[in-house]
Amino acid sequence: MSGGIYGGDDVSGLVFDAGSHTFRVGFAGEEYPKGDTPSFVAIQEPEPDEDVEMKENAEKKTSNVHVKRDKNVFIGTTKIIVPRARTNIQGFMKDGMIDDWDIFENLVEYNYNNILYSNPQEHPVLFTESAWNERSKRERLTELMFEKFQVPAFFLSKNAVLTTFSNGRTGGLIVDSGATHTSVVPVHDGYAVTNAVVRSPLGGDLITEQLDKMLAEQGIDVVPTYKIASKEEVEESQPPRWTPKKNLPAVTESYDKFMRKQVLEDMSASILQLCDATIDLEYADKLPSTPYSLPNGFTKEFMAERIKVPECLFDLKYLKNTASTGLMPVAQMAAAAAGMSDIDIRPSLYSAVTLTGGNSLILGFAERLNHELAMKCPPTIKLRVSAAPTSTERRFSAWIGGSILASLGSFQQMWIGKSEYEETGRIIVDKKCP
Amino acid sequence: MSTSGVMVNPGVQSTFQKLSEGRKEYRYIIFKIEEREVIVEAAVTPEELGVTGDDYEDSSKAAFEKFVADIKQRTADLTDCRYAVFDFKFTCSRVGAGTSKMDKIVFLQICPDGATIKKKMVYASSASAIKASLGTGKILQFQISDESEMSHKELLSKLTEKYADN
Repeated sequence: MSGGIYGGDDVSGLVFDAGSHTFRVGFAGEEYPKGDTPSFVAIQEPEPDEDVEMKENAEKKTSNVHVKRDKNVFIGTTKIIVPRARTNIQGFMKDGMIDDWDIFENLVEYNYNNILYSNPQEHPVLFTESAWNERSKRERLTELMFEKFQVPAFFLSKNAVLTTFSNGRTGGLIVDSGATHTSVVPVHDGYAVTNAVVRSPLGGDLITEQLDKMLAEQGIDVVPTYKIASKEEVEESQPPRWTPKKNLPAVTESYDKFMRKQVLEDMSASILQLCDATIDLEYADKLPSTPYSLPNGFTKEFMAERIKVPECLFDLKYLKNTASTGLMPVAQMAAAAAGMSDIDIRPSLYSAVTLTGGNSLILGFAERLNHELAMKCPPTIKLRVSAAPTSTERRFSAWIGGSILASLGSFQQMWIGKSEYEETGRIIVDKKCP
Repeated sequence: MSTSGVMVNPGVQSTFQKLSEGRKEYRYIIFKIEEREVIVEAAVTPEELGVTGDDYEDSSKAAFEKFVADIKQRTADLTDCRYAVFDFKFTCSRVGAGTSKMDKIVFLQICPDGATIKKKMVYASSASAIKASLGTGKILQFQISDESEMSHKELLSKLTEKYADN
């Protein structure tokens, strides 16, 4: 995509879209992000002091090599999955907002150096944020980008608004089902109705947890890939035959959990499906089964359980051994968010319900939401639930919106420039970015 | 200013006034975005439209269908976006007041599903600018994503629903 008729300026802005599962970065004007790095980093604690001193003493005799006492930080899909001693896997997002700023800084640096190969001082940066981002965090991010990374220009845009715009609308109900939570944000006239946002920690992570419990009930052992040295092919539902890897370092609990989650995430993406209507167990039994092989070679045809696991998104009764306090089913959240909005805009919200986020890729999610909402919304209202057809568009909708916006010739006057920041300070972000 | 920074050409407002005020020179106007500006693409008078007969009687059906055909042609069969205003004349029956002739200006933001994301993004993120210039109090807004949402029946039912009982 070039500037086209809307402006031929050669401005290569960058777009950063930080999620709780992955961090999307790329150049404005491009179709898809350049990088989609996990929002998790592996932090290796320094060796205990005695060991370091021992090594230092040993090395002093031979050379003057300085032994590091700092933490090691590993970033990137291939780096964090390596088993290491004293290494914890940590994320930087909490509730859809940046929480650990040190890890965040590390990730931004990594993105500049290893993915974009660009100098922060040369490119304006557009960041996306959640509709409920706190004022202090917005200002802190602005300050960080200008002071630490010395960016020439900066802009902050709400992800729900970007998704709405990229659907050719100025208003609608954005149902974003992500890894840690699902949120419903009403958008009207290009602004997020922030006092009517509804969210609930009901997302991909909960689904993988439920899947894990289902497997445990069936006595199926989930062995993460890093433990497996070799495996043999076995018949379906037969005990697996595999040999464990030897000489593994003593890994931490968080690492093991993370690796197990990787297996479960792949599994939920492969087999789970939602019923079109309220679950009907007879229908569920007739669904075609789907085979899945775990990394240790165990293979099973999964039947009705593959629609019972995600059912909890719409019916909390299906939650296994999890307290359902504080949770709200997705359709109810959408109806609640519309209900909290002004009555005059409700019809326009229901006529443009947009589904986005990685967790919405569970088969049948859009159809099910349509079905449930049709029962909840007033009968005279025209309901329209839409979702981008491809998985990349669905996962990257906010990034794509930001990419187009930041590449528009007319947008170039909208950035917060460095001089403006220096004049007004960090509060400029509250004035210029709604 | 709109999120996208797109400006509105002064001609937009003056042309719209000729549709909304005084002699009501135009029946509909189509706007497009060109060179970072919203401009008037076409302004059509009732004579040019060539619809004979009473608009109130058929609730602008004939005129509206010609307008839709024009939109489809200009957007290469709904693969491009536009804004438009249409002077909608219709009759509706109100409780206790019998039938009355109504005259409402509708604003259509046409961003068809078939258009590229880039075009949809530009038109959606610039809509606040043109709406501010037209004056939101005077217009009724509709967002159009496909042909069904632009049908005469659909709009008429939304209009009568809104004006039938107040």
